[in-house]
Amino acid sequence: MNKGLSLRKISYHLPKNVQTNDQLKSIHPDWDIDKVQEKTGILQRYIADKDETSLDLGFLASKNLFREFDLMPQEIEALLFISQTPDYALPSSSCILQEKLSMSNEILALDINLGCSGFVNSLAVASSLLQSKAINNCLIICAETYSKFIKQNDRTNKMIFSDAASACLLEKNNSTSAIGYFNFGCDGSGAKELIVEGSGARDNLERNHQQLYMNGPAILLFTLSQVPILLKKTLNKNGLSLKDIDLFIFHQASKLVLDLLCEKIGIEKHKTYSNLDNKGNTVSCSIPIALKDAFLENKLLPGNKVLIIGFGVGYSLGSTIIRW
Amino acid sequence: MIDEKKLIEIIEKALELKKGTIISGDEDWYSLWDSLGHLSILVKLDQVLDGKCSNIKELSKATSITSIKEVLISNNLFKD
Repeated sequence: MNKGLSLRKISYHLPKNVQTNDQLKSIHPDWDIDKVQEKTGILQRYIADKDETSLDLGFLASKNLFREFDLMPQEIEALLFISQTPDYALPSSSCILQEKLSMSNEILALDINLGCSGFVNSLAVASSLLQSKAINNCLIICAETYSKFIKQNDRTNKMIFSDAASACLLEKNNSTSAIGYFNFGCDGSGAKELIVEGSGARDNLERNHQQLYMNGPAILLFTLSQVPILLKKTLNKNGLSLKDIDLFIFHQASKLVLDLLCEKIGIEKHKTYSNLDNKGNTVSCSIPIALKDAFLENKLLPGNKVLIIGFGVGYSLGSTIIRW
Repeated sequence: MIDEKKLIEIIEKALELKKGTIISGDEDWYSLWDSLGHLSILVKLDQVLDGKCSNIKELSKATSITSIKEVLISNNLFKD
Protein backbone atom coordinates (compact mmCIF):
# COMPACT_ATOMS: atom_id res chain seq x y z
CA MET A 1 0.00 0.00 0.00
CA ASN A 2 1.07 3.61 -0.63
CA LYS A 3 1.29 4.78 2.98
CA GLY A 4 0.74 8.39 3.92
CA LEU A 5 -1.75 9.02 1.12
CA SER A 6 -5.01 10.27 2.53
CA LEU A 7 -8.41 10.62 0.89
CA ARG A 8 -10.33 11.73 3.94
CA LYS A 9 -11.25 15.17 2.65
CA ILE A 10 -14.39 14.70 0.57
CA SER A 11 -17.34 17.02 -0.05
CA TYR A 12 -20.18 16.95 -2.50
CA HIS A 13 -22.93 19.03 -3.99
CA LEU A 14 -26.38 17.95 -5.13
CA PRO A 15 -28.74 19.98 -7.33
CA LYS A 16 -31.68 21.54 -5.48
CA ASN A 17 -34.32 19.76 -7.62
CA VAL A 18 -35.36 16.46 -6.08
CA GLN A 19 -37.53 14.07 -8.08
CA THR A 20 -39.28 11.49 -5.93
CA ASN A 21 -40.95 8.27 -7.02
CA ASP A 22 -44.25 9.67 -5.77
CA GLN A 23 -43.86 12.58 -8.18
CA LEU A 24 -43.13 10.12 -10.99
CA LYS A 25 -46.28 8.17 -10.10
CA SER A 26 -48.40 11.21 -10.78
CA ILE A 27 -46.55 12.04 -14.02
CA HIS A 28 -46.57 8.44 -15.30
CA PRO A 29 -49.60 6.66 -13.81
CA ASP A 30 -49.07 3.83 -16.33
CA TRP A 31 -45.61 2.98 -14.95
CA ASP A 32 -45.31 0.32 -12.25
CA ILE A 33 -43.11 2.54 -10.10
CA ASP A 34 -43.25 0.26 -7.04
CA LYS A 35 -41.99 -2.70 -9.02
CA VAL A 36 -39.09 -0.72 -10.47
CA GLN A 37 -38.31 0.74 -7.04
CA GLU A 38 -38.11 -2.76 -5.61
CA LYS A 39 -35.35 -3.58 -8.15
CA THR A 40 -33.45 -0.29 -8.07
CA GLY A 41 -33.79 0.57 -4.38
CA ILE A 42 -33.96 4.21 -5.45
CA LEU A 43 -36.63 6.45 -3.91
CA GLN A 44 -35.50 9.80 -5.30
CA ARG A 45 -33.03 11.46 -7.62
CA TYR A 46 -31.43 14.90 -8.02
CA ILE A 47 -31.90 16.71 -11.30
CA ALA A 48 -29.78 19.65 -12.46
CA ASP A 49 -31.54 22.79 -13.70
CA LYS A 50 -31.71 23.31 -17.44
CA ASP A 51 -28.86 25.83 -17.32
CA GLU A 52 -26.85 23.97 -14.64
CA THR A 53 -24.00 21.79 -15.89
CA SER A 54 -21.52 19.29 -14.50
CA LEU A 55 -18.95 22.05 -14.41
CA ASP A 56 -21.28 24.18 -12.23
CA LEU A 57 -21.91 21.26 -9.88
CA GLY A 58 -18.21 20.44 -9.72
CA PHE A 59 -17.42 24.06 -8.94
CA LEU A 60 -19.88 24.10 -6.03
CA ALA A 61 -18.64 20.74 -4.70
CA SER A 62 -15.07 22.13 -4.74
CA LYS A 63 -16.15 25.28 -2.92
CA ASN A 64 -17.78 23.07 -0.29
CA LEU A 65 -14.52 21.12 0.05
CA PHE A 66 -12.41 24.26 0.44
CA ARG A 67 -14.84 25.63 3.04
CA GLU A 68 -15.31 22.40 5.00
CA PHE A 69 -11.60 21.61 5.27
CA ASP A 70 -10.25 25.15 5.29
CA LEU A 71 -8.22 24.63 2.11
CA MET A 72 -6.60 27.32 -0.01
CA PRO A 73 -7.17 26.81 -3.77
CA GLN A 74 -3.62 28.00 -4.44
CA GLU A 75 -2.28 25.02 -2.49
CA ILE A 76 -3.72 22.52 -4.97
CA GLU A 77 -1.11 21.11 -7.37
CA ALA A 78 -3.30 19.07 -9.73
CA LEU A 79 -6.94 18.94 -10.77
CA LEU A 80 -8.66 15.97 -12.37
CA PHE A 81 -12.18 16.52 -13.66
CA ILE A 82 -14.15 13.35 -14.34
CA SER A 83 -17.33 13.71 -16.36
CA GLN A 84 -19.14 12.45 -19.44
CA THR A 85 -21.26 15.57 -19.67
CA PRO A 86 -18.69 18.39 -20.00
CA ASP A 87 -19.68 21.92 -21.01
CA TYR A 88 -17.70 21.72 -24.25
CA ALA A 89 -15.88 19.24 -26.47
CA LEU A 90 -13.10 21.78 -26.05
CA PRO A 91 -11.68 23.39 -23.97
CA SER A 92 -11.31 21.04 -21.03
CA SER A 93 -13.56 21.69 -18.06
CA SER A 94 -10.55 21.32 -15.75
CA CYS A 95 -8.92 24.38 -17.36
CA ILE A 96 -12.10 26.41 -16.92
CA LEU A 97 -12.32 25.28 -13.29
CA GLN A 98 -8.70 26.28 -12.63
CA GLU A 99 -9.67 29.87 -13.36
CA LYS A 100 -13.11 29.77 -11.71
CA LEU A 101 -11.68 28.27 -8.51
CA SER A 102 -8.75 30.75 -8.43
CA MET A 103 -6.22 27.95 -8.49
CA SER A 104 -2.54 28.32 -9.29
CA ASN A 105 -1.41 28.68 -12.93
CA GLU A 106 1.19 26.00 -12.27
CA ILE A 107 -1.20 23.10 -11.75
CA LEU A 108 -1.74 20.02 -13.86
CA ALA A 109 -5.35 20.10 -15.11
CA LEU A 110 -6.82 17.07 -16.87
CA ASP A 111 -10.29 15.96 -17.95
CA ILE A 112 -11.06 12.26 -17.79
CA ASN A 113 -14.05 10.95 -19.74
CA LEU A 114 -15.20 7.95 -17.73
CA GLY A 115 -18.46 7.05 -16.02
CA CYS A 116 -18.98 4.58 -13.22
CA SER A 117 -15.31 3.55 -13.03
CA GLY A 118 -14.16 7.17 -13.28
CA PHE A 119 -13.44 7.84 -9.64
CA VAL A 120 -11.36 4.72 -9.01
CA ASN A 121 -9.39 5.01 -12.23
CA SER A 122 -8.70 8.71 -11.62
CA LEU A 123 -7.61 7.89 -8.10
CA ALA A 124 -5.07 5.53 -9.67
CA VAL A 125 -3.75 8.36 -11.84
CA ALA A 126 -3.63 10.78 -8.91
CA SER A 127 -1.94 8.38 -6.50
CA SER A 128 0.69 7.50 -9.14
CA LEU A 129 1.46 11.20 -9.59
CA LEU A 130 1.83 11.64 -5.84
CA GLN A 131 3.93 8.52 -5.51
CA SER A 132 6.25 9.70 -8.28
CA LYS A 133 6.67 12.97 -6.36
CA ALA A 134 5.41 14.97 -9.37
CA ILE A 135 2.82 16.56 -7.09
CA ASN A 136 1.95 16.62 -3.39
CA ASN A 137 -1.82 16.74 -3.66
CA CYS A 138 -4.58 16.39 -6.21
CA LEU A 139 -8.14 17.61 -6.35
CA ILE A 140 -10.39 14.95 -7.90
CA ILE A 141 -13.74 16.30 -9.05
CA CYS A 142 -16.41 13.93 -10.32
CA ALA A 143 -19.49 15.60 -11.80
CA GLU A 144 -22.33 14.19 -13.84
CA THR A 145 -25.62 15.31 -15.36
CA TYR A 146 -26.94 12.26 -17.23
CA SER A 147 -30.44 13.72 -16.81
CA LYS A 148 -29.72 15.99 -19.77
CA PHE A 149 -29.74 12.94 -22.06
CA ILE A 150 -32.77 11.19 -20.55
CA LYS A 151 -36.08 11.64 -22.32
CA GLN A 152 -39.31 12.27 -20.46
CA ASN A 153 -40.73 8.79 -21.20
CA ASP A 154 -37.55 6.75 -20.65
CA ARG A 155 -38.64 4.59 -17.70
CA THR A 156 -35.39 2.62 -17.51
CA ASN A 157 -32.97 5.51 -17.15
CA LYS A 158 -35.25 8.11 -15.59
CA MET A 159 -35.71 6.09 -12.42
CA ILE A 160 -32.00 5.31 -11.96
CA PHE A 161 -29.68 8.20 -12.78
CA SER A 162 -29.18 11.19 -10.54
CA ASP A 163 -27.07 14.33 -11.06
CA ALA A 164 -24.33 15.22 -8.59
CA ALA A 165 -20.74 16.31 -8.06
CA SER A 166 -18.09 15.30 -5.57
CA ALA A 167 -14.74 16.88 -4.79
CA CYS A 168 -12.00 15.19 -2.84
CA LEU A 169 -8.39 15.88 -2.07
CA LEU A 170 -5.79 13.15 -2.29
CA GLU A 171 -2.81 14.30 -0.29
CA LYS A 172 0.40 13.17 1.33
CA ASN A 173 0.43 13.40 5.09
CA ASN A 174 1.73 11.64 8.17
CA SER A 175 -1.47 9.72 8.88
CA THR A 176 -1.80 5.94 8.69
CA SER A 177 -4.08 6.34 5.69
CA ALA A 178 -3.03 4.50 2.55
CA ILE A 179 -4.08 3.69 -0.98
CA GLY A 180 -3.61 0.09 -2.09
CA TYR A 181 -2.68 -1.48 -5.39
CA PHE A 182 -5.15 -1.09 -8.22
CA ASN A 183 -6.69 -3.44 -10.73
CA PHE A 184 -8.36 -2.35 -13.92
CA GLY A 185 -10.57 -3.75 -16.64
CA CYS A 186 -11.87 -2.66 -20.02
CA ASP A 187 -13.99 -4.35 -22.67
CA GLY A 188 -14.86 -2.03 -25.53
CA SER A 189 -17.18 -4.65 -27.04
CA GLY A 190 -19.76 -3.23 -24.62
CA ALA A 191 -19.38 0.37 -25.85
CA LYS A 192 -22.79 0.44 -27.52
CA GLU A 193 -24.64 -0.99 -24.51
CA LEU A 194 -24.52 2.32 -22.62
CA ILE A 195 -24.17 5.21 -25.01
CA VAL A 196 -25.40 8.62 -26.11
CA GLU A 197 -25.31 8.28 -29.92
CA GLY A 198 -24.52 11.44 -31.86
CA SER A 199 -23.14 13.28 -28.84
CA GLY A 200 -19.64 13.67 -30.23
CA ALA A 201 -17.95 14.22 -33.58
CA ARG A 202 -19.26 10.98 -35.11
CA ASP A 203 -22.71 11.30 -36.73
CA ASN A 204 -23.41 14.33 -34.57
CA LEU A 205 -27.09 14.85 -33.80
CA GLU A 206 -28.94 17.95 -32.71
CA ARG A 207 -28.92 18.32 -28.94
CA ASN A 208 -32.57 17.36 -28.49
CA HIS A 209 -32.05 14.13 -30.44
CA GLN A 210 -29.19 12.93 -28.25
CA GLN A 211 -30.51 10.26 -25.92
CA LEU A 212 -29.01 7.98 -23.31
CA TYR A 213 -29.42 4.32 -24.27
CA MET A 214 -28.74 1.56 -21.77
CA ASN A 215 -29.05 -2.16 -22.43
CA GLY A 216 -29.75 -3.15 -18.82
CA PRO A 217 -29.53 -6.92 -19.35
CA ALA A 218 -26.15 -6.62 -21.13
CA ILE A 219 -24.75 -4.37 -18.40
CA LEU A 220 -26.02 -6.76 -15.74
CA LEU A 221 -24.33 -9.76 -17.36
CA PHE A 222 -21.07 -7.85 -17.76
CA THR A 223 -21.18 -6.76 -14.11
CA LEU A 224 -21.96 -10.20 -12.72
CA SER A 225 -19.25 -11.84 -14.81
CA GLN A 226 -16.44 -9.29 -14.36
CA VAL A 227 -16.81 -7.56 -10.99
CA PRO A 228 -16.31 -10.67 -8.80
CA ILE A 229 -13.14 -11.52 -10.77
CA LEU A 230 -11.70 -8.02 -10.44
CA LEU A 231 -12.55 -7.86 -6.75
CA LYS A 232 -10.72 -11.12 -6.06
CA LYS A 233 -7.70 -9.94 -8.07
CA THR A 234 -7.58 -6.76 -5.99
CA LEU A 235 -7.69 -8.70 -2.74
CA ASN A 236 -4.88 -10.98 -3.97
CA LYS A 237 -2.75 -8.08 -5.20
CA ASN A 238 -3.03 -6.41 -1.80
CA GLY A 239 -2.41 -9.66 0.11
CA LEU A 240 -5.82 -9.55 1.75
CA SER A 241 -8.89 -11.77 1.92
CA LEU A 242 -12.61 -10.98 2.08
CA LYS A 243 -12.63 -11.14 5.87
CA ASP A 244 -9.85 -8.51 6.12
CA ILE A 245 -12.07 -5.86 4.53
CA ASP A 246 -14.14 -3.74 6.91
CA LEU A 247 -16.36 -2.18 4.27
CA PHE A 248 -17.10 -2.76 0.59
CA ILE A 249 -18.23 0.23 -1.42
CA PHE A 250 -19.39 -0.68 -4.90
CA HIS A 251 -20.40 1.79 -7.57
CA GLN A 252 -24.02 2.45 -6.60
CA ALA A 253 -25.60 0.94 -9.72
CA SER A 254 -28.87 -0.43 -8.35
CA LYS A 255 -30.07 -2.53 -5.42
CA LEU A 256 -30.55 -5.53 -7.70
CA VAL A 257 -26.93 -5.37 -8.88
CA LEU A 258 -25.49 -4.80 -5.40
CA ASP A 259 -27.52 -7.65 -3.88
CA LEU A 260 -26.49 -10.04 -6.65
CA LEU A 261 -22.83 -9.10 -6.35
CA CYS A 262 -22.86 -9.69 -2.59
CA GLU A 263 -24.54 -13.06 -3.10
CA LYS A 264 -22.13 -14.08 -5.85
CA ILE A 265 -18.96 -12.97 -4.06
CA GLY A 266 -20.08 -14.03 -0.59
CA ILE A 267 -20.07 -10.64 1.14
CA GLU A 268 -22.18 -10.19 4.23
CA LYS A 269 -24.69 -7.39 3.79
CA HIS A 270 -23.56 -5.48 6.89
CA LYS A 271 -20.10 -5.09 5.35
CA THR A 272 -21.42 -3.10 2.42
CA TYR A 273 -22.65 0.46 2.25
CA SER A 274 -25.37 1.86 0.06
CA ASN A 275 -27.05 5.26 -0.19
CA LEU A 276 -29.00 4.45 -3.34
CA ASP A 277 -32.35 5.13 -1.70
CA ASN A 278 -31.83 8.86 -1.38
CA LYS A 279 -28.96 9.60 -3.80
CA GLY A 280 -29.73 7.38 -6.81
CA ASN A 281 -27.05 6.30 -9.26
CA THR A 282 -24.74 9.30 -9.54
CA VAL A 283 -22.33 7.58 -11.97
CA SER A 284 -18.68 8.57 -11.23
CA CYS A 285 -19.73 10.47 -8.09
CA SER A 286 -21.33 7.45 -6.44
CA ILE A 287 -18.21 6.06 -4.71
CA PRO A 288 -16.85 9.34 -3.27
CA ILE A 289 -20.34 10.31 -2.09
CA ALA A 290 -20.79 6.88 -0.50
CA LEU A 291 -17.38 7.19 1.21
CA LYS A 292 -18.39 10.54 2.65
CA ASP A 293 -21.85 9.36 3.75
CA ALA A 294 -20.45 6.16 5.29
CA PHE A 295 -17.92 8.26 7.21
CA LEU A 296 -20.61 10.69 8.42
CA GLU A 297 -22.74 7.74 9.57
CA ASN A 298 -19.77 6.24 11.47
CA LYS A 299 -19.76 3.20 9.21
CA LEU A 300 -16.27 4.06 8.00
CA LEU A 301 -13.73 4.67 10.72
CA PRO A 302 -10.08 5.74 10.67
CA GLY A 303 -7.91 2.69 10.03
CA ASN A 304 -10.70 0.72 8.33
CA LYS A 305 -9.87 -1.09 5.13
CA VAL A 306 -12.43 -0.26 2.47
CA LEU A 307 -12.53 -1.90 -0.93
CA ILE A 308 -13.91 0.34 -3.67
CA ILE A 309 -14.87 -0.90 -7.11
CA GLY A 310 -16.31 1.02 -10.05
CA PHE A 311 -17.82 -0.62 -13.12
CA GLY A 312 -20.01 0.29 -16.07
CA VAL A 313 -20.04 2.39 -19.22
CA GLY A 314 -17.29 1.47 -21.66
CA TYR A 315 -17.26 -1.25 -20.41
CA SER A 316 -14.70 -0.10 -17.85
CA LEU A 317 -13.75 -1.23 -14.36
CA GLY A 318 -11.38 -0.23 -11.58
CA SER A 319 -10.76 -1.37 -8.05
CA THR A 320 -8.50 -0.73 -5.08
CA ILE A 321 -8.37 -0.86 -1.30
CA ILE A 322 -8.11 2.24 0.87
CA ARG A 323 -6.94 2.33 4.45
CA TRP A 324 -9.11 5.16 5.77
CA MET B 1 -28.30 -28.01 -17.33
CA ILE B 2 -32.04 -27.35 -17.54
CA ASP B 3 -34.89 -28.68 -19.68
CA GLU B 4 -37.89 -26.93 -21.22
CA LYS B 5 -40.08 -27.52 -18.18
CA LYS B 6 -37.49 -25.91 -15.90
CA LEU B 7 -36.94 -22.98 -18.29
CA ILE B 8 -40.66 -22.24 -18.32
CA GLU B 9 -40.78 -22.50 -14.54
CA ILE B 10 -37.89 -20.02 -14.27
CA ILE B 11 -39.58 -17.53 -16.60
CA GLU B 12 -42.91 -17.83 -14.78
CA LYS B 13 -41.21 -17.19 -11.45
CA ALA B 14 -39.19 -14.27 -12.80
CA LEU B 15 -42.23 -12.59 -14.32
CA GLU B 16 -44.39 -13.46 -11.28
CA LEU B 17 -46.84 -15.45 -13.40
CA LYS B 18 -49.14 -18.19 -12.14
CA LYS B 19 -47.78 -21.69 -12.74
CA GLY B 20 -49.00 -22.99 -16.11
CA THR B 21 -49.60 -19.52 -17.60
CA ILE B 22 -47.03 -19.94 -20.35
CA ILE B 23 -48.17 -23.37 -21.58
CA SER B 24 -51.81 -22.25 -21.49
CA GLY B 25 -51.38 -20.72 -24.95
CA ASP B 26 -52.66 -17.35 -23.77
CA GLU B 27 -49.97 -14.85 -24.73
CA ASP B 28 -51.17 -11.86 -22.69
CA TRP B 29 -48.34 -12.50 -20.23
CA TYR B 30 -45.78 -11.62 -22.90
CA SER B 31 -46.24 -7.90 -22.25
CA LEU B 32 -44.56 -8.45 -18.87
CA TRP B 33 -41.35 -9.40 -20.68
CA ASP B 34 -40.08 -5.82 -20.76
CA SER B 35 -36.52 -4.79 -19.90
CA LEU B 36 -37.20 -5.22 -16.19
CA GLY B 37 -38.78 -8.62 -16.77
CA HIS B 38 -35.80 -9.63 -18.89
CA LEU B 39 -33.44 -8.66 -16.06
CA SER B 40 -35.43 -10.84 -13.67
CA ILE B 41 -35.28 -13.80 -16.06
CA LEU B 42 -31.50 -13.49 -16.45
CA VAL B 43 -31.03 -13.26 -12.69
CA LYS B 44 -33.09 -16.42 -12.05
CA LEU B 45 -31.39 -18.30 -14.89
CA ASP B 46 -27.96 -17.35 -13.58
CA GLN B 47 -28.89 -18.51 -10.08
CA VAL B 48 -30.27 -21.86 -11.27
CA LEU B 49 -27.30 -22.47 -13.58
CA ASP B 50 -24.69 -21.71 -10.90
CA GLY B 51 -23.54 -18.39 -12.33
CA LYS B 52 -22.81 -19.74 -15.80
CA CYS B 53 -25.18 -17.34 -17.56
CA SER B 54 -23.36 -14.14 -16.70
CA ASN B 55 -20.60 -15.07 -19.15
CA ILE B 56 -23.02 -15.53 -22.06
CA LYS B 57 -23.41 -12.10 -23.67
CA GLU B 58 -25.98 -13.36 -26.22
CA LEU B 59 -28.53 -13.82 -23.44
CA SER B 60 -28.91 -10.04 -23.18
CA LYS B 61 -30.51 -10.06 -26.63
CA ALA B 62 -32.52 -13.28 -26.24
CA THR B 63 -36.02 -11.98 -25.64
CA SER B 64 -38.17 -15.04 -26.33
CA ILE B 65 -38.33 -18.54 -24.94
CA THR B 66 -37.09 -19.94 -28.25
CA SER B 67 -34.09 -17.62 -28.42
CA ILE B 68 -33.11 -18.28 -24.79
CA LYS B 69 -33.36 -22.00 -25.52
CA GLU B 70 -31.11 -21.64 -28.57
CA VAL B 71 -28.48 -19.73 -26.63
CA LEU B 72 -28.53 -22.26 -23.79
CA ILE B 73 -28.28 -25.19 -26.25
CA SER B 74 -25.24 -23.64 -27.92
CA ASN B 75 -23.63 -23.34 -24.50
CA ASN B 76 -24.48 -26.90 -23.44
CA LEU B 77 -26.80 -25.70 -20.70
CA PHE B 78 -30.04 -27.09 -22.12
CA LYS B 79 -31.22 -30.64 -22.66
CA ASP B 80 -34.16 -31.55 -24.92
